[in-house]
Amino acid sequence: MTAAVPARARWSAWFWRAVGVAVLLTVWQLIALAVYNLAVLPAPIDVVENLVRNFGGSAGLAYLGLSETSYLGNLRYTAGIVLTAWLVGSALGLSGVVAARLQWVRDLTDPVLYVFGVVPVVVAAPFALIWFGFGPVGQWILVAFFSYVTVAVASLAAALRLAPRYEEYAATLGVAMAARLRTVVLPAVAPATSSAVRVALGAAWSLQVVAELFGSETGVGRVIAVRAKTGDVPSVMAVIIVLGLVALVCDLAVARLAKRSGAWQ
Amino acid sequence: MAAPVLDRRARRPDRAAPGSFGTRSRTLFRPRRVAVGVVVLALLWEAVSLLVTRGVEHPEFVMPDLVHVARYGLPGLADYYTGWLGGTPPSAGGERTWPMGLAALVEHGAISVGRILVGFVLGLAAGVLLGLLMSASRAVRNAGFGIATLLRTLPVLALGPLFTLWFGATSAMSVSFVAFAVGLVMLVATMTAVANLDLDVVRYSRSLGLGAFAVQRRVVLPAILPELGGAALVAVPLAWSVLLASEIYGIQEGLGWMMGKAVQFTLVDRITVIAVVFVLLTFVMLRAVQAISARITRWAE
Amino acid sequence: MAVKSMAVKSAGAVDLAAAPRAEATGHTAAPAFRLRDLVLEYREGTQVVRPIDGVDLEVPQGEFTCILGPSGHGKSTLLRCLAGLIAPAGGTVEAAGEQVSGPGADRGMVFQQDAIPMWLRVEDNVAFGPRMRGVPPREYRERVDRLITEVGLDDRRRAWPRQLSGGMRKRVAIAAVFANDPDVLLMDEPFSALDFFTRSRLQNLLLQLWAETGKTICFVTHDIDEALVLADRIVVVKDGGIAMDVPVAFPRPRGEELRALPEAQDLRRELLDILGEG
Repeated sequence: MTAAVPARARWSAWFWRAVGVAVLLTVWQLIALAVYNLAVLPAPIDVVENLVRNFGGSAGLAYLGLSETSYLGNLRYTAGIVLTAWLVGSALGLSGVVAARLQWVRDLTDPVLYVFGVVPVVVAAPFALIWFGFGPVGQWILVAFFSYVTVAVASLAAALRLAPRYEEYAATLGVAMAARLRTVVLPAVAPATSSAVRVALGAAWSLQVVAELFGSETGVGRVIAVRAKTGDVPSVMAVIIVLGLVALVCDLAVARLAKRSGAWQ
Repeated sequence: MAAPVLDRRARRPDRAAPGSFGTRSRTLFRPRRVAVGVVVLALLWEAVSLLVTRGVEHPEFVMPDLVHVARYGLPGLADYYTGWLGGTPPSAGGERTWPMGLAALVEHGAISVGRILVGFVLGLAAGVLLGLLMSASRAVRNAGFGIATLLRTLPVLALGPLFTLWFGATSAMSVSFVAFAVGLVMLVATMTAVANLDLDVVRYSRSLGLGAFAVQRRVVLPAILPELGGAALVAVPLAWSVLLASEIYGIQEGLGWMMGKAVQFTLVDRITVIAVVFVLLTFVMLRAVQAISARITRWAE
Repeated sequence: MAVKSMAVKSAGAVDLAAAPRAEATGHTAAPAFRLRDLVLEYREGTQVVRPIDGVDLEVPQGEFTCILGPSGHGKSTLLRCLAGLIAPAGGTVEAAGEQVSGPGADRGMVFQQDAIPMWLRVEDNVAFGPRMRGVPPREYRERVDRLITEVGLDDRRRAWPRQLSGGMRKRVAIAAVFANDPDVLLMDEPFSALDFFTRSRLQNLLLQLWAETGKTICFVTHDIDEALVLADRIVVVKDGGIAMDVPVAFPRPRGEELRALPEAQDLRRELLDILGEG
């Protein structure tokens, strides 16, 4: 999977991926036709139709009393919290690099990382939401905290693994400790850390929706909750899929950035 | 002046050489400091809860102090006990007692563990099997990658209501949801592992005269097992998250259902007890999966 | 230019003083290193290992010293101590008259395994030291360019290290350490992982740069022939102490004809005996 893969092979890989997606959609459509029941399995076309109809504004959601009545508005709310919280949390997670070299920082962060490092984060959701509110603040703190833990664990481990000679080399060139962290350790752990950053983003979408399902005024999770209650499968599928597409686009963007920063590998 | 500068951090040679000037130093995991840190976190909780008590009429609904949690958390769970293991639960006019609370934990814990184990094993088997099938040719594998990439970006936990609509509020819903999430992880891991497999390994066994099926079963599967073990470890916390998300939705039993009930009335003491049990169970399952995969792949480097 | 200065040296032949010396390069009179009763220790598991136990050594400025010894007898540890990466457990280490208290830009090091940042392109790698120390670019730009040319990487300036062969990466490491303009170069078996031809080409490159700059070089190796080709002086470290300390005054450049020289054969045999026994 290096840059040496010839262009033709890459194109053929993309072609077959597209074929895979097309097959999936076709099979889904056929099964839906066989089932012929919107409340069980709507066809892809039904989902798209629902999406188009409700994207800019939904009479149904307005009727159910949501403050944001369009898919777009709810999507914007969810994406806004996920992206800002993830960004801040991931940035804080880089403290793992410092924790790998300064014992007092390690002693400070280890209890948190050790307790929450292996926990399925959903169990932390009720606490964050009860303490900081079933709204944007609680959700934001939850997602940011989760991103922090994910990235910090990865960057700490990567910085501990780094062979000492790189820093020793920099030291014999006269580079001081703080500059070594910035110019040697940080770039060296960038590949491992950036994949953790991607994992954090992927999971952040899930986490945010769950937080919204627990109770929220707005957001994709809220739409799913109210629509699921009325058995409206096409709506549920439509918002989940559109959220998935947003997540996919964000993931590709992050992957692209990560690839550029890891071009030396 | 030239007193030997022995680095106090030097407990192990690969971390920090004694007498190094610090360039080799790696910080250490210090269990005692972590224990102290956890105690500090607990004290912090106590301090904040004391502050909360002053301003709020019912602090137990926001942040009860830990003594309150310890005293009322577990017995409170008795409310969710059905009498399955004997005794008289509060719902039948009994008292909120410790044994009743424990019985509730055992009852719903057993149900949750049962669901997750079945879902996990099903998902594991289905994901690996499908992954091997899809690795049959490069074209099919790429097609599979296309599907998997798309499915994987779906916010998995958000699919809960959908599974409820399909399977109803039943254990089948929980199990299939867990199996779906685990299966997706294992599917991608299997296809990736096969794609990264050294082709010579396959060619060599072909040259020995093994048939296609035998190559898959005797060569490819063992060769990718170490990577699959890593993926299974990733899948464990995910499976518990999915289980929790599934049980909060409408199902009438399980740890997640209890948690959902407690959240509804913001009974933080009960939530805390359930969360601790949840974390412990996740930890135990992680260790078990780790031990099993280490046992299976003990030949690996 | 390089050829000329080497010619000058070989004219001075057997005289040790013909090597670029302190007075020629304008350094102060203090020796590059002065070790007094040096003791080095490190811990292995629960045991304390003491690979160096009571070493006295003086390295004059401008000298090319090879530290030779069997593996596991502390020659690398000694070099790391000179670099300031290890503190002495006893005794003193002075570099240019100053107590060594840590690594510094005055003592550059080339490591056995690649230690250059893999995420910097060749030219950024060579400029890494001065740039990180905040030296203004106009002061090092020209030197960096010249060194890249001299080590023969002009057409690979924009390459990542991973795209280079092992020998080329060593060229980058050598250029980088010279670009930082230290007083002393410490080299820890830098060529041991390379094939014969690459190794001898890099040895010549190193000698050329040494002749041009007149820097002090301490070169750790376990290869007797390498030491004979490179050194002004060979110090054999064995069993915690210095087993032999001998000047090497053969004419430079030392090519294949060195093997034919009877004195070289004698010295080689003597070194073999010392390294080989018990």
